[in-house]
Amino acid sequence: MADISRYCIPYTPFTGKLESSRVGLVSTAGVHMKTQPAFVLAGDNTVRMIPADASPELLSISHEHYEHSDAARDINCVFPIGVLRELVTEGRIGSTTQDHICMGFSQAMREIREKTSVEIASLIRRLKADAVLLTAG
Amino acid sequence: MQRAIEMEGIPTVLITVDPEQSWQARPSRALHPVGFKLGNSLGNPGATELQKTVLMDALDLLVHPPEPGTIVKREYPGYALP
Repeated sequence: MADISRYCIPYTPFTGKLESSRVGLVSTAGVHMKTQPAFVLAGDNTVRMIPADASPELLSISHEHYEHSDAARDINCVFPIGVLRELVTEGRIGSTTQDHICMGFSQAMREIREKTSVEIASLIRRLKADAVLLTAG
Repeated sequence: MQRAIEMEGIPTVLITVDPEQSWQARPSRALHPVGFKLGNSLGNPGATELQKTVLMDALDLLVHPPEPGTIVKREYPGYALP
């Protein structure tokens, strides 16, 4: 990624229509498949790819820096995987990316900026997202 | 993260319940549902219609963008504080 001032705001205009756009979800809420390794709670800069058709009961949350009992009952509170599917069914967005992306808690800001963010941006480009929704906890 | 994705040429929108912290990262577009607690970015558990409204309001910022760096605050009377 090019080195730009943190005071600059990178900005890509959205030129399409939501009804025909492929939307990806990128989150730091600590969501992962139960079959995937849990995030290291003290800090973890790795990412998990989550199939967009994953059922909620296949998902888990590894994150100690927000209260996630509500999200444990309904993952859409922080990771709206099911809501996005409903919006596709209703024709309000065109589709979702095949996978969504999540990471857990981390304060290693330099590594996030220089490595993880670049990795996530590359993944989301390969998923051919037209737009990305970001959520935290 | 949002910056890196925007620099790949992909527009983004953030939903944040912590606008002070998010502002420091200078988000390209962001929605702040006022009064939502941490862990309820989209709303209460099981409140599918509210979650859908919040999500569509966020995506609408792609179509009707505010000035870059603005965090749009919106009230949702349907949100129930625990």
